[in-house]
Amino acid sequence: MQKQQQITSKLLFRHETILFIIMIVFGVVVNSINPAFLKVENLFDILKTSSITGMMALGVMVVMISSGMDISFTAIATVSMGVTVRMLIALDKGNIVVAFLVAGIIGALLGCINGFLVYRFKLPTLIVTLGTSSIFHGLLLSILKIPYLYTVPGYYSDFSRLSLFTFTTADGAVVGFSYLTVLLFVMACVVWLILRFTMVGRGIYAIGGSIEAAKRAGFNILFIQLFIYSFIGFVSGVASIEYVVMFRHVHPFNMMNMMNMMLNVIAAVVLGGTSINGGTGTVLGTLFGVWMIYMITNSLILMGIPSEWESVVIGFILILSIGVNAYQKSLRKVEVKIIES
Amino acid sequence: MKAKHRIKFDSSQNELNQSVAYFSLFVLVFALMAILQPRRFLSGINIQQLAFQIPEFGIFSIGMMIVMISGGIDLSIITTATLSGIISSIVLLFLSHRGTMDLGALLKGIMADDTIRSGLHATMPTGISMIGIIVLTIFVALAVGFLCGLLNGFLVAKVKIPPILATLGTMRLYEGIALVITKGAPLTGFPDEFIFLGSGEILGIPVPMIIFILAILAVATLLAKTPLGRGIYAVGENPLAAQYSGLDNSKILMKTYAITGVLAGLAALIMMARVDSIKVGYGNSFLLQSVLVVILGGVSTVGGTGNIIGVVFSVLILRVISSGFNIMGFSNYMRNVIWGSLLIIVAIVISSGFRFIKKTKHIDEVISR
Repeated sequence: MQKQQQITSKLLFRHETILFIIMIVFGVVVNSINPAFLKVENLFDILKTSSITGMMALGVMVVMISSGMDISFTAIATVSMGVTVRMLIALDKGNIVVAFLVAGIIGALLGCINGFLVYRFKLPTLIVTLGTSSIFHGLLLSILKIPYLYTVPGYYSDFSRLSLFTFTTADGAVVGFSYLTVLLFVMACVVWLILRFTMVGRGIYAIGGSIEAAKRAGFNILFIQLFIYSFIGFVSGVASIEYVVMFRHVHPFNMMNMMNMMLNVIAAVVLGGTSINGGTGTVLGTLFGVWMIYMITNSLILMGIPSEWESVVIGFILILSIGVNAYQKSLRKVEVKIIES
Repeated sequence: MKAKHRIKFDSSQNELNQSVAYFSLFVLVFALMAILQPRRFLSGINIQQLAFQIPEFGIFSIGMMIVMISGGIDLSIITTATLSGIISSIVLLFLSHRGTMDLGALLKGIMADDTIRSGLHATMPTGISMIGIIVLTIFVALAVGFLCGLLNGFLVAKVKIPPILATLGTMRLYEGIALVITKGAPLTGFPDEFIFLGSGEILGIPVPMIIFILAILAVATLLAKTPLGRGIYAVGENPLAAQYSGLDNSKILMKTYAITGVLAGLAALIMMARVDSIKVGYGNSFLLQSVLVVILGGVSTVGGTGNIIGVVFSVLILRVISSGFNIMGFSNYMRNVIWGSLLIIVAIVISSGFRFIKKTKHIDEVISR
């Protein structure tokens, strides 16, 4: 009986639960201002537009769990987007599955470089990825010379119209559940399975706790580091094709309008409860974090608040949520200290 | 006791060696560029351009250096500058145009109109002289920078948010406030007396360069001679040890971030005065570059070590390389590749070098015992 109580109270105080409650309260409040917010088509739209960020956020979460930081993923996405789309046009073949795979593989290879540098030279991950991001992007533009591409083969736009199921709302509009969202859910399940049930997944958490301890415990650090960084490369590649599907153009700076994209993704992951110091973080929390950010953006539009406020609101919420979290943790530490002494 | 002396001697010797190394690298790079492109690199225009471009980037880098020595990072440094630039330019424009227009019209970008600019002196407000207005503008810019920095410091030191996340949040926040104020439009049309700060010369030396040199001297003194400076190093080296040796960590960190904010405000003033406008998004490329320069300058990525000479010289070296590449016709993108590679190579060299130094120190200690 007591145990059960403990479990429920634990569940109640988990970050995901709190986020979920905040999301619902937020949704209800916004809905009372503009009833379009909680309509199915709007919610499906939020799910669809957030899928790119969500995909990258899964990668960033994995890196952060290992107490690393990757800021080169937008550059990797830009490179794999440019190279893949160009290559498939030049070969005059291909379909959407091939595009996703090729982009993912290119991304994974680039990520491997990061992983190797991090492992071999024990450099701070922030520095390595700061360096490689300007190398990747610079190489794309100076050697491969990928120009803007405003017409892409038809299979990209076909995929964007594809829905898992559709239904007609009362107003007669057809609403579909996009495959882009499905893709995100599938990837989320895969990440959850990897983190939960495989040796690599346990290793990622172990590295995040203490790399030395993980090594002593017999984890293959090289393999795990390579896996982590090629995984984020892979999801960035996939996300880049999702970008092409959604916006139907290739642009070497849009993805790299990167500061904002990158910071949004990192903000979403942090909002989802992943600690920057490694060792903690869940798939569900990350998804909630991503949706939270897109809900805020979407609701600002629906409530008629000028878009300039978006940055202010997101910045404020980010500071508040991390602040509360960090403050609680520091209080807990003080308690421990008092008990110790 | 003996060991202590020896280590101290070693470290100052190291510092000297390091400075000499950076200086000779600078001379080498400069000479290389001069030999490769003698006519265009050494031309008066190019050198002058360099002298006008270096200061704002240099001041950002110094600001970044201070927080990185304390073991943190300040991602909000550029948007702090943007915000303080925008608020101070509103003050400047409002005061210097008072009587001719209201604030609302001012924000709609009417200031770009030349006729208003030329009629500036005729409509000067009676109460405050131009000098007074400019002093007030400078004060506002520095004060906004100070407050932004203080908020960063508060979040890092009191709320205990990791610096990278705290400043990530405030970066969005400051940028957002600046966007809300201006709606993304540029503010321009500053009086000529103010523009002097960014593009004037005194005895042939560009004013921004003079400001930069003063900032270097001030920060160098702060770091080397004051208790706060030593405190910043101590907190960066080992926060727990600093705390147990009686330092007030959170006070030191608050001050550190506030100083960086003030430097960002200073850079904003120079930026405003140099291009005669301010807009959200100016200087965004400086963010990653300033981190790069600080690391190239020998500041440890975990804090506690590094000195200003290395950072200043690496600012100079990078600008010289960059200008040389520009003349040689390398694209911006190729420069990015080279900078990225440089960053990783230097990081590798420094990290292995540090391991080497630590080892020798340890041996020294053992021997002297």
